[in-house]
Amino acid sequence: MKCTEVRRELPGYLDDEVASALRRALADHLRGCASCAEEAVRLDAVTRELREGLAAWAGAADAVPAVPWRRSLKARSDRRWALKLAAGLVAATFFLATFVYWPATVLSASRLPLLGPWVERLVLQDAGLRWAYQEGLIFPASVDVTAEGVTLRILGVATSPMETTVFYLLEGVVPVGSSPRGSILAGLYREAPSGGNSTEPADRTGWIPALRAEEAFSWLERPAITPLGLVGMLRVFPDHGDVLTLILESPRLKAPLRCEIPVDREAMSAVVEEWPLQATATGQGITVTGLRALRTPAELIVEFAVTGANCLTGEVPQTMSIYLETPAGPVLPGKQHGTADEAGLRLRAAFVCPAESPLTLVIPVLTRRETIEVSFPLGAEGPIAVRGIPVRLQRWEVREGRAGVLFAWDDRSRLWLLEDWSLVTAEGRTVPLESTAVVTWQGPDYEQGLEFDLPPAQVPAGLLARTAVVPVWGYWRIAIR
Amino acid sequence: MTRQEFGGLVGECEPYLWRVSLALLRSEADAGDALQDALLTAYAKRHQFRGDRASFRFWVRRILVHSAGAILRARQRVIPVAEVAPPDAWQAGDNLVWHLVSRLPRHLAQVIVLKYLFDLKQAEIAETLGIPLGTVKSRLNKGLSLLRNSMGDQEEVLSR
Repeated sequence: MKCTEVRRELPGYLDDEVASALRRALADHLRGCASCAEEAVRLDAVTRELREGLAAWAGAADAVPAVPWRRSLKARSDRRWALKLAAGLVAATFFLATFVYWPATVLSASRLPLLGPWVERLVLQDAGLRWAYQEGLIFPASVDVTAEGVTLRILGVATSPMETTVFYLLEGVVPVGSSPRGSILAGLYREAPSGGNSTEPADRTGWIPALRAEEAFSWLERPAITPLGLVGMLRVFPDHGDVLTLILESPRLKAPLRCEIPVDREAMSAVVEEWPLQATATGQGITVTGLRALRTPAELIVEFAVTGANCLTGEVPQTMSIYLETPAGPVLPGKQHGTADEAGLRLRAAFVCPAESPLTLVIPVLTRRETIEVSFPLGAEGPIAVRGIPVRLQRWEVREGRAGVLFAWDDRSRLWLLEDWSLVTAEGRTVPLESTAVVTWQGPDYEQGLEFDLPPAQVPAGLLARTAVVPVWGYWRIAIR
Repeated sequence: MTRQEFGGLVGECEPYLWRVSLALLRSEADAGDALQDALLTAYAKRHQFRGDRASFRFWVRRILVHSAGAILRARQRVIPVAEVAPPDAWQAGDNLVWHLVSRLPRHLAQVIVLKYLFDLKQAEIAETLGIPLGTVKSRLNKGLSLLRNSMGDQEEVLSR
């Protein structure tokens, strides 16, 4: 297609009004043509301003724009259009700067000119990645996998002792202008490290981000929906070999897509200083062992293990619960990753490079699983005590064989989570629940939602929880240097 | 929907409908005619409305497009004498977007308004205005490019 033809179709393309063959042709052109791609970004900003400005003028400030992915952008944006326009222009400037100043490696890494500013915004918000970017340690990865109109394009890979970060573009899963409608768009996750035949790794959630429709917009708190598709990055624990395998699942795909990405980690090891830690701290039946520390020009990374009876199987402490004590005051980790197995937890926390010593890692609180047996009869009035904490069963709903339950309590410092659920039937039998999903919210009260398939031919009379995850306050300290 | 309920819903969204009508037709007389036609049609078809309170205005807006479209198509054959009321009279206020759109040539502004205020597809705009789809595309591009330039100018003024 010629640029003039493309420009003429761009407004329709941005509103998803063009036929699928033309949309593909336009997307192909935009990937290869920097000036048209830039035009698309600018035009998108202008039409967004127009929609919002005109709706506001007509007195329908609450009117929802017709295009859902715009809606998500709208929700986060300032309502004053002039400011937003300024932001748009800044973005456009970023775009130009990307072409002029990016090192050749990164430019080729981005592969897709239009994605420059999005990838750059992802990169520059993270100290470790910013450094990798400056050092030219983001490597191009030319891996594309396609099936049934869904394409996963790997744009680049950055490695660090802390993590491997993969930048990707997902096409065909978030079609421009059509509605995700709250359904799961896609999940992109890593194949189980042990390999094997499983494409259903146990750790789909947790620190490997599961990408869901409702999370896609807030995911990493960055705008990730672009006119070409979904741009994002996935971080994984760097315990893979020279090849990292990702799995993409989507309701649009008949079978999961498998994507093998070559990873070069040698360049990184040359600039990392590493030393072992020989400190342990024990308290409340839990032992924290310092394993090693690594210093990159950007970050101090501390690796440590947590062991103890019933301790923390799968439950990674929240970021706020760990800090580094420095002469200049406490420093919170920029990020932390962990893996859990029967032996305990193995965690890495990265701090933006404090130069002074002494440095001490402090862990005020961890969590532990404890066996309880508490049942919540349906229709019970008043709260049920779990380890002295009153827990209310707020709501119970059944829809199409799937049940949703909501519990609330007000002190999360003493009770973190209830797990290991069974259904109590009207005959008094207990049926372990499978495929339960747990969702938590922190509101005025702490709330835990539970979703599960109702076992067939059972009349539910109540729910039974057998495990409580409780915080343990111990202030474990590990000397780093 | 009773007559009173209909009246209540119209009362809530009339200022909005009046403005979108005016934005499209740029003449108070025509805007009033189109809105009146639209409300009469909406009243006659009120039992067909299935949405909630918030979507009522968008339902009437759909009807308004048809009555305004009839006026626009007829207007192509006559030379307007009292065309554009000054934008100030339309209460642009501090809405810079509307300020800029209202300064576009009429044939471009119509397409922009139908696209970005009425949320019509390009094919629907072509049908409403009785012009070819290709003309809609070129007018849309021309209008957007003029708006982008004037938004850029405005930006320069703001940053000084």
